[in-house]
Amino acid sequence: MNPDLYKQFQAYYDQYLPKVYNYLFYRTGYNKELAEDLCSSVFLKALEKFPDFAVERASFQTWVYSIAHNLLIDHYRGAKELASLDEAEEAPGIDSAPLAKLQVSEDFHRVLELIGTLPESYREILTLKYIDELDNTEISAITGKSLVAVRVTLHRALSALKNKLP
Amino acid sequence: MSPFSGNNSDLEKILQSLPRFQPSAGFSFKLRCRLAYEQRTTLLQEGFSWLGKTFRVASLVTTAGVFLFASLSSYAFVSSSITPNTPVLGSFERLADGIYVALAGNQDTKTEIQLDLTKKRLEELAAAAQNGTLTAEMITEVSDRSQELLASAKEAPTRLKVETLKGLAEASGQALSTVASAKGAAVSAKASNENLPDEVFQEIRYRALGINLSDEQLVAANQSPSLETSPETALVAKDLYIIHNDPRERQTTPDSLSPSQAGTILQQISQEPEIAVLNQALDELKKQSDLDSLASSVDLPVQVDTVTLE
Repeated sequence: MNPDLYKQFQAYYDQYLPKVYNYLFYRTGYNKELAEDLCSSVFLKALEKFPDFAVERASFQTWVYSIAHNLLIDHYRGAKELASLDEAEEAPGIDSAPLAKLQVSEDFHRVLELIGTLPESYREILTLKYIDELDNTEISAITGKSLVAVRVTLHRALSALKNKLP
Repeated sequence: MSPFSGNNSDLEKILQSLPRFQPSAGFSFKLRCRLAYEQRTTLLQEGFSWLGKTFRVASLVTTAGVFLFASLSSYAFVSSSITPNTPVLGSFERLADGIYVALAGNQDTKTEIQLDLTKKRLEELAAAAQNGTLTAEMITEVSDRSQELLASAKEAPTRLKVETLKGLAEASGQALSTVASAKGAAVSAKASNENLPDEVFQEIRYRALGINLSDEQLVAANQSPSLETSPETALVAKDLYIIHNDPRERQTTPDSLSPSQAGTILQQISQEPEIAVLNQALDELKKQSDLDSLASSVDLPVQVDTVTLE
């Protein structure tokens, strides 16, 4: 990779590291160490593939989130926590130990706890939509779901969360 | 956060107001260094690939001069990139940690002086790591300094914090247990046994921790400033050499614990982050003694009564 291209990558790194980390932090059940591990893997892979990355195909944001999404799938498959993300209805909830360490208000703590009890696909879509503030088109590109599927899952995720809130 | 009214737009507002968690500055820096190093490694790989192609082309041409020219050019490229001290990936991570530790400790003047690197030089190294312009010589510089400092740390381990020691161990490529042993000795050095002279007690403890220090080093450590240590640490440190089962010294010690009590202590301290370094020393000690069987026999809370060692 020539130095100019690497400088471009560094600029993307500065801009998107916090977002990718935050995404992984939520998706790993607020596990700092795991989020850092996965984050490192994401950017190492992005660096390796960056010369082939074509802006015309997708934005860097969509591209790097896709890498993160796929690495998460690999991680979960490797940990055998989920047979596939489609079987998320039976997915176990998030370990509460990392959540207990978070220094957030009680209200937020409660909401984070409830999000942690949702199925994996619901957690993913809520994180991408409201915390990462991506639009449905970007979410569709990252997750590989159709736009219709994204809208339906989003609706169901909100309903599931609403039912849990007091 | 406003109370939830039951409608979706309120729920969406709640979700949008959830906190954004940021990566730590240390993690960001280390990953940046790692990426910079990967970038450099890739350049070397491309160089090797070019070298291979060059030789393949040259072999098709019978002119010896072209072959010789290609060889010399390749050698010049490779030798300018690789020195005997070119680190492998793992040691670069250690270097990044070492630099970060050095920078993190920069606010502590004592650490800066001990590293014998000026703040300006540390910043230059950090900038080089960030820009991907870190040279093999720079890496060696930090590694050498770290090794020197670790060597001196064994003589006066109280001078450095545990975190600094760990960072230096990683930067120099030394085993953490070696560093931990030095620190563990220092931590336990404060624990006193009223019946034994300090020098003798500490020497025993150092030997129990598997540390080989010269007489001069022992004296220097003995004269080091007092360390902060909890009563539990002092107690455990005392028991370390008891567990190590030196009958001669046990006779002079007023307090002793049963194997089950000693095992409980081992279990308890394994969960205390504040004396994590002592755990490293314990790991070393475990290799020398059959402590696992002691720990597994525990089912009683610790009571520090005067009980004769069984």
